[in-house]
Amino acid sequence: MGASLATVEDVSRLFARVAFGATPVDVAQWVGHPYDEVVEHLLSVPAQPPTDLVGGALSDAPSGDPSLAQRSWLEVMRTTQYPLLERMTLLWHGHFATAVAFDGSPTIDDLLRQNATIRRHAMGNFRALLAAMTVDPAMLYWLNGAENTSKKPNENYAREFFELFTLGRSPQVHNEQDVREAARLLTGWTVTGTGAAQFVPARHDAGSKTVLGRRIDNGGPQEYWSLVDLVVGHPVAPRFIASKLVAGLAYVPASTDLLAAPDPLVAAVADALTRSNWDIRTALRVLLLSNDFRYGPPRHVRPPVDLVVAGCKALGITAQDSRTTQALGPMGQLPFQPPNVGGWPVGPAWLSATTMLARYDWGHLLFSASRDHLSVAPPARDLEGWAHQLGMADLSPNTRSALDAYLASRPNAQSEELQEGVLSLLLASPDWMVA
Amino acid sequence: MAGFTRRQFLVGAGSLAGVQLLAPIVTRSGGAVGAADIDPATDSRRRLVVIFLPGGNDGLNTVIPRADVAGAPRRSVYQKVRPNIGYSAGSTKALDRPADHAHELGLNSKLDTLYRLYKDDRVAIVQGVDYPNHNYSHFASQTIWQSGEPDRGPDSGWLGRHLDRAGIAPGELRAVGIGTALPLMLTGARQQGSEIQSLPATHFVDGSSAAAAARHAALTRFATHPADQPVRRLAGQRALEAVTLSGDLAAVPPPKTTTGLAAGLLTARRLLESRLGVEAVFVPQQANYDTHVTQKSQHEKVLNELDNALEAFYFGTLGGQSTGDRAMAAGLASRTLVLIISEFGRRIGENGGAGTDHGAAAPVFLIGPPPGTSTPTLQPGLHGDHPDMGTTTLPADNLLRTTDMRAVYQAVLQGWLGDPDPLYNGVGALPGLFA
Repeated sequence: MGASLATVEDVSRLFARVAFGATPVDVAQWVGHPYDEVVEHLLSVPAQPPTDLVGGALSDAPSGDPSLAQRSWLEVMRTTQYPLLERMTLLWHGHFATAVAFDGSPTIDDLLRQNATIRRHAMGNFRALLAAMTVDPAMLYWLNGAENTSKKPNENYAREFFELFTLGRSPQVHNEQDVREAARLLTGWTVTGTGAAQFVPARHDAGSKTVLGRRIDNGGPQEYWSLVDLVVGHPVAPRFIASKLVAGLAYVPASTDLLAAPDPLVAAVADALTRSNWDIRTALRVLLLSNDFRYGPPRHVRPPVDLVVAGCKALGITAQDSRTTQALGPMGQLPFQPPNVGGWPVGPAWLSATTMLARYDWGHLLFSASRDHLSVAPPARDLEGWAHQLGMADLSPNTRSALDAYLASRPNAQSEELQEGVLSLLLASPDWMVA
Repeated sequence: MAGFTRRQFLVGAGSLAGVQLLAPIVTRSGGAVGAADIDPATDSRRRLVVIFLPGGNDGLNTVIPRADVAGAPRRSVYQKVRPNIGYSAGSTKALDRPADHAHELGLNSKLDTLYRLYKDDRVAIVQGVDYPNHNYSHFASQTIWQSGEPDRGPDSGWLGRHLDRAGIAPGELRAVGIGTALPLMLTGARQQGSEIQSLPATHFVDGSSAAAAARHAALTRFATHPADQPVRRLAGQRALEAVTLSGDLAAVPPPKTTTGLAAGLLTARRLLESRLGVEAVFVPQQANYDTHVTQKSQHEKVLNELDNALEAFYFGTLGGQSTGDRAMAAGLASRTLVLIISEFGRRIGENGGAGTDHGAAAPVFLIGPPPGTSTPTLQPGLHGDHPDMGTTTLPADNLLRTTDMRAVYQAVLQGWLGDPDPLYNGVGALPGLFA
């Protein structure tokens, strides 16, 4: 199946879901190539992400300014030659959701260091990513691991470690005692004055702990690895992580019990995680090559960050423009500012009327940002040209008739008014938002 | 044409030159679009504002034991387990109405306005509220407080089911959530509320010129996206809802206060004052009550914001200073109930970071009309029993339920909204809350 040739629809859907949209160049380059070759191209990321990615645009962001850091990352997403790596970094940022504190820690600099750590593992090994997040300085601040001591354990990280990061709640396999024991196990970690994680033996509970029915003896600074290995060894863990990948990049699975009745694609992606000892790239390959991903009605609701980056990319506008973060606030997705530790919504939860207003408004902001070089924009009445420019394979009949009716209702309007209208309507259209 | 409202929608769409009439239009409320013109000055329907405190409000530092009482050494236990975060008895505001005095409890000193309302016989405090099989997860417990159903799947909210029973008349905007997504609480099986982020954010950036109106008309046409692409169809319906909401709210003036919970509560008041038939508004505080560390300063800050918001909501002032918003009119005050809930309380004892971890039962607050202005009316003062705190030699770990969450909801539904809830068979309304 994967050897069949990629159509315009294939490239459009694939790039819209995992690569911030297809540019006309992407379409020209990949249509007609074997589908699996296109997937392999997106999966091809160097083992060590190029340093200019994390050491360039992002580290140039002036220290202490969240909005500049946000826009810098958006610009990396727009310009990178490894878009899937950035898409996965965003996905894991939402999974291990950590927010900047405006009057304390973690600071935006802590968040940028966490961002680099996530990127290093984003398409690598999930077990290593989980371990890195467990002792990540921003995370130690955010979920109070830095205050978790043998004398008085703090349960905040331990609880979310099970519920949000590894096992979920369907079925519920961990209990309150597991939370308390895991909190004891993770005691002793703190953050130094220079923002590095540090293990302080005197703050660590050296007694043995029992988690998920298994005894773990004192392992000092390495003990958290025992917890990581124990939990990723539970059969629900790969299903839970696979469900996050499917929900984030394809559709929200309907199943409510991951062990008893998993979504078939979730089960297949979970098997890939298990077989590869948690290699994320292997799991993504299974996901992107599956029939469930490639065919069927469009059902992936693109998150706001993706839509804003894709809009900039399609019109050649820098995402450093402050209008990007201006739009993302009311859309509900500013990087480094997830609403809570549960991260951002996925899927149809993004489709509220109030964020729809913001998505439409974004079209106007983008148009005003692109006034100076509208040469890239097609004439208003060239709807095929607009669809092509925005990486859409075609327009659905309903959307086309809505646009046709709009153009017909403004017979004497200036071309610029109509261009602005077509762009803002397309950026609020079902075709654009749901890939 | 200035824009669309629920009332004007059919007329407006039909009058567009060269455009076929849109049918069928499905709005989010499931009802036909039509006219709501309900004069709030004469409408006798009782209103409900639900304030949600996210993160788990520490009930024991909100309603504080001031002294031991016979058989319950609450003050002694409190001092023992909260050496760093406890309050002196003298720093609290004594709950000293005659019927409450013997309970030796006091409000946190940040709650000036709530105390003022208490002294005016307008505040009821239900002690020890929780639900069976308590869940310590933020997300699970929030879902249960929203659904009002600890034993069933989170398929609807307790006020959503009220909307199912009460119905939403054509053109009514009966229930509104403040936020980027519709809260589960306002989601029924057949009827739903709507959500807005703020009144200003519910207007399109491009205004209401003829050019803008033509674009907005096109947005409404996305709602007829074919049903074989259900997620895209949903996106299209949300676009229509955005246009109608914008039209509905065009004549509702935004509050002068634009930040914090005060803005949310004043927005709720503007909605209750409108002619749209608003019965219920859900307002979550944005600031977080999840005080795992350095609780005292963080908790006081968020309680202070809550109290300022109540001051603005009822009296139109902040710290006694004018906000530019008026005091609540007497007629509305006589018909409005405020219910303040959180997903759980916190542990009895403080942890190593001068904070508290996730707990169980906590007090629920209700604020009713001025005495003598409403029948039935809220019965002020303490309700239910204070949870057992153990002894100084063996302090309790947690506060356990003495009142079922569902009994509070049932009392509000039956006693205030005049709606018996058949789903609560076996859990009766909390006696004596309304009379």
